[in-house]
Amino acid sequence: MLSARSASLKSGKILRVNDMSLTCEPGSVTALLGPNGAGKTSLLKLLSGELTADCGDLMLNDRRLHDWKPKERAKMLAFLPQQSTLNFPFTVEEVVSMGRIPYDTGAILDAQIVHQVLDAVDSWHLVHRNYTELSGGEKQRVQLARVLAQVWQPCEIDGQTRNRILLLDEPSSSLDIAHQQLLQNIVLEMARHDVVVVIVVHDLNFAFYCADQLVLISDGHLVAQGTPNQMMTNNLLQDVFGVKLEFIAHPRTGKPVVTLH
Amino acid sequence: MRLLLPKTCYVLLIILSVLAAIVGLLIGPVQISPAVLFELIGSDEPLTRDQMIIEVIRLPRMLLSFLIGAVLAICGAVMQGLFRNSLADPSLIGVSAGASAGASFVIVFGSLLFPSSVLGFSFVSIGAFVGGLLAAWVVYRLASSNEGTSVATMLLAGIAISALAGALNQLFSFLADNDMLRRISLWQMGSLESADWQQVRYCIVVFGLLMMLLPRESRALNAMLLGESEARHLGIGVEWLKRRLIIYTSLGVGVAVSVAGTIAFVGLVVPHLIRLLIGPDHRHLLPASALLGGLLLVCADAVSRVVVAPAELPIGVVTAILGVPFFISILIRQRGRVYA
Repeated sequence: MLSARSASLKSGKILRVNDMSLTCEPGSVTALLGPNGAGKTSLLKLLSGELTADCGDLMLNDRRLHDWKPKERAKMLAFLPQQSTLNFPFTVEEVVSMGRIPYDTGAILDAQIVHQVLDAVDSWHLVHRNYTELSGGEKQRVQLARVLAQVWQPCEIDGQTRNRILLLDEPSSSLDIAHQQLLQNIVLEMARHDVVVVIVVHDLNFAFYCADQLVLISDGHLVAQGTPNQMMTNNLLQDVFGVKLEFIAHPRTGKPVVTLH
Repeated sequence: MRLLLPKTCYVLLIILSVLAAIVGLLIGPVQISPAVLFELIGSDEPLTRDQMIIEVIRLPRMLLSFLIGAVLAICGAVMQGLFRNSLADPSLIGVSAGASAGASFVIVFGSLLFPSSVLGFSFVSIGAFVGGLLAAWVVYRLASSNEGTSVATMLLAGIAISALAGALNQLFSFLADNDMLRRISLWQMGSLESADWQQVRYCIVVFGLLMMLLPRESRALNAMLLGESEARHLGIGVEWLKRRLIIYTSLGVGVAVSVAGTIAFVGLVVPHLIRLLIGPDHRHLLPASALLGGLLLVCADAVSRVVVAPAELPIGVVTAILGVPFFISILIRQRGRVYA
């Protein structure tokens, strides 16, 4: 489980995150929604432990986030940032293998996991390619494979099984439509294996399709949170984004589909 | 594409190093026949002139060039990892300049304070090490804040510290008399002329220490190339890692500078070539860089002894002639990538 209790974060005089509380259960997908600069990424970085809250508590599996040793935390929690700055000519295989750095599971198991995650993101054919020569979407898939490799297997610390957390910051921004669908399936599949998934996404349909919990953020405030159905019936989404939205039922699945008015 | 497997690369580098070592021992102002080498091994008889030349002059000098080349190359590779920039070089964060100023300080003020004593290599080396560490520490303090260490600030601070150290160096040169001035400028050009067995022992200890400590950080350095925050999420204590790496590299560079003066570009060129051959994985990059760095400096030293024999070219001049075109070509290629 991953949760924030009254967490606030300032950078300079600007309040990036103002008194937010949030609980993400194992096996659930939480989508953070909001306009550019609303504080979605700041909240995600608080949840990942990269930034430290000025006040409030962040809890990971019944312990404060910063009370875990860095290596233990790395075994439970993987974070995919928006952009990658890697500009050294590693092969795709080497990049994905770095997801196994927190572990001492041996080269054979690591190689198997690298194969599995690259298959999962439809990138096994890139395995020997030079990472720096890939396209933006391919890089994004490879980085996704790297963080998947980090939490691919059930996590055990001190003899106890712990929940795994997957935090994704705009993972679909460079993906083509087929790979966006693939990503949706990966997210749902990870949740099915009791992983806590938190995702920042701009594609409302992606959020409505995958998420169990939608969190709407505006100007550093948590405006609303609820299931897709709850969010569909109130007008907060429209107010926050300043657009008219129309919800229609998907002709086959019956799930809500969002279009602009 | 990778040109070589790491193992092939190691074997190749070791063979070439041995060959270069043998050639380096035999050539020079006095040409020595290979037979002398074999006679030297395991003989108890009094040494001939040629054997003396090898044992007293050329062997320590050859070993010293290898060790210093290896130390500079491995420190360069580590700094490039730390800065996540393949153009980073020990001289970039001001370590070389700081070490140089520290050594000048000792040469000038040491002989003013103790005019009668001959200041040995050890005094100058302590000055260089302290100067290098001081520079690295100041740059680090300037660049680090609560949010971590900013690489850009660190590079800029390195430029500032280099300028300050350069100014201090000029001040010391201004204060120096003729003899000191000659020693300072000789020292700054870099020279292995005065190599002796004591320096070799000193360098073996430092080299051994670095080879024990640095390869342990290989995986962490790989993760650093992904980005600082990515490394943190992979469970690496980034702040302590950076501190350790700065101390190790200033130790290595300070020692190299104190023994042989500023030898530029080895730390830049060697890791670059190794990355082209076997890729950027630090588990292989560090040992292979050490080997190639040693090999390169043994060759450069041989060249410096031969081209203007019986005089000698300072070795820093040789590495600069090799390194500058290389540096410019990388710059042009990186610029092309940015504007493309």
